[in-house]
Amino acid sequence: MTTAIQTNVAPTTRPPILFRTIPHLACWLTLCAAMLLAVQMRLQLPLGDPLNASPEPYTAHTPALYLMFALIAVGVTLVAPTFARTGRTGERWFAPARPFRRYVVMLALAAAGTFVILPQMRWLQIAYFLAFGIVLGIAVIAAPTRFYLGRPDSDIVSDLMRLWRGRYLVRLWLQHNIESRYAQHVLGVLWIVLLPISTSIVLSVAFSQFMRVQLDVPFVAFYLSALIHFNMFSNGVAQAAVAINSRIEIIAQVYFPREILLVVTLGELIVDFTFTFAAMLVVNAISGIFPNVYFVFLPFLWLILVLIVAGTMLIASALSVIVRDVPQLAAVALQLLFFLTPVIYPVASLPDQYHFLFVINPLAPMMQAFRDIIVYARPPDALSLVFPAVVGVAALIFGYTLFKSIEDRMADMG
Amino acid sequence: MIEVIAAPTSPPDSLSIPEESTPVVIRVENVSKRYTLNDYRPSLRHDLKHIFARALRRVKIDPAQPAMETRFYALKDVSFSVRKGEAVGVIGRNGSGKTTLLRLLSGITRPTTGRVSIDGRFAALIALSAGFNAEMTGRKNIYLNAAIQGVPPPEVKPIEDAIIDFAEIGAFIDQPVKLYSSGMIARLGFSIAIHILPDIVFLDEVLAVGDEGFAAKCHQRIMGLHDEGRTLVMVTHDPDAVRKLCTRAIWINKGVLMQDGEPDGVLKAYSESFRAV
Repeated sequence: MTTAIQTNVAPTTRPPILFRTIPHLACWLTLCAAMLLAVQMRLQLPLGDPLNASPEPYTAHTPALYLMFALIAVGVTLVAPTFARTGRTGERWFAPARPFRRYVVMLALAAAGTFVILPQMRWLQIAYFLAFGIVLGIAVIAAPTRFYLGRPDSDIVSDLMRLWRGRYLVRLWLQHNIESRYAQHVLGVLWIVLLPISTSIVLSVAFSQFMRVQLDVPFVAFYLSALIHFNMFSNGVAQAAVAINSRIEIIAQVYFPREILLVVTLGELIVDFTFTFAAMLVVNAISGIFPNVYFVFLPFLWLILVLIVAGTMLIASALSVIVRDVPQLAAVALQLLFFLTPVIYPVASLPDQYHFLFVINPLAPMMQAFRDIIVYARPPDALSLVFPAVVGVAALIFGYTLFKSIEDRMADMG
Repeated sequence: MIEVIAAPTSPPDSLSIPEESTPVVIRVENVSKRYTLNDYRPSLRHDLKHIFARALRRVKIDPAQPAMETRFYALKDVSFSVRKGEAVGVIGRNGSGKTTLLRLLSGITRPTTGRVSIDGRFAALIALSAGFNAEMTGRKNIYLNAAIQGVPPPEVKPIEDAIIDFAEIGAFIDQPVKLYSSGMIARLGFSIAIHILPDIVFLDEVLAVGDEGFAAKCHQRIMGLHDEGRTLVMVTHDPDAVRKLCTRAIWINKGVLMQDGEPDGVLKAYSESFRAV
């Protein structure tokens, strides 16, 4: 609140060098992410000719490829101003206000360059690369440009500064919400812990005694390790869907960066999660499973999970401003997702024709990784985590810009 | 009261009008705010119906019936600027767009067209109870409210007692706000807003809160803010308040800026508009 609501940046002022490098850095990272995803998906979803049957070695990850992407990103950004002045076509593809088109040029060049560097590359692989390139480009380059920077007076730096200045507000709100929640109930803190544990006991009885699911580990441990993480996601989305509507009074009366409401919600989820995680460790210890050395990977996994949760929360709450049915739709979608994610069943039990459900669901490899670490005491499959990580970052960028572009409409809603 | 309106007094000497050279801190350029009426689509079902109806061209423009989307301008092409140290009173009838203007100034909503820029830290007293959490104690709410206005807790700590004293809350300060009377909440809200000392203050009708004693105290404090060189934009129905506290008045009618100038002249035109009807 200390600076101007809308900063007056004269068109002549050039941003500092750091900000000027952001566009091609973003394009390069997007290209790399698209290639990584394409390789990984091609390995896991072998449409067309299966890779393991092909005689040539599959060499997609070469440093030269990513270096070439970097050269293309820098090169296109450097020549763009010159090309933009050369007639209509140049202007159409290289205009400064059209970063997505510039990115599409880069993507095409990168696809062509891939053929040059790796002549044995299949068409199908390039098709994967182009498809992921376009989807990611829309999420992190086209949508932010259109939603966010396309509006007058949008300024990401001052928006983030304002959010940073709101940290006191976040702390006070969070403190109060947590105190009041735990003070109001007789069992207090115990409730957040008791609920997942009692469900898991009920389910473990049901699954082990009635349905006879054969597992090599205690079902409670198997189930809880995935459930507490899935719950963080589903509680986050469910609460984000009502976060704006339930606070409409305060939104209509004072200005503060609205995403603070979601930051507070996320903070509460993380606090709850800490309790639940501690309780899970106790339950695991009872059934003979103890913390192991691979727990050092957990912070990275949690970071990816928080990225996905935060991104999805932003998208859900932004959509709830446009369409009022979002809370109901979210409830149905989350229920469906619960069964599509390997939370109550092992991945191996999925029939082959449904294997793709596991591959296209970014939460599935996350659940598998958590389970590997906590229950099976083995390192997670790092390559399978590329997809959730990319989805998390893309969702956060897309969600934040979507949320900020809808922010003005929130006060007029009530 | 009628005599007071009929015989306007000149502003007190303490109200100094800033020089031409002082910097402009609030700039409102060609601002319009449009709201869309009769377009209330509360759920996806309505949205879909609307989309399909449009796609099938079922929405016919019938000259006898009003258009489906009636656009309503709460503010229409309003421009003005405020220099540092000015005290501007915004007057107008109910529904003339005064509150919308204040909401735009404080960043709650954005203009449909045009731009608003503000240079400096501001506090908005648009609704005094806004930002209060009913479950929290008054003391905690002081910190919360200040944080919403962008003031960090370490800066509130030294002025905490002053805020409580001014609000005349007494021992109630450690009770949850839900036990407060509306007057107490309003007093506390006002007290917080004027003690965090922003460079620019936006006020809406808040002078009407509290008993006469408190209102007088508030007036005095607002004059004090002005003397300290702070900028004030105040929305009110009360011509007396404008006369007493403001160096300039802006009259808005049906979203259009009618007059902008010396309080006496603008107030006179404003009161004459009532007689004309």
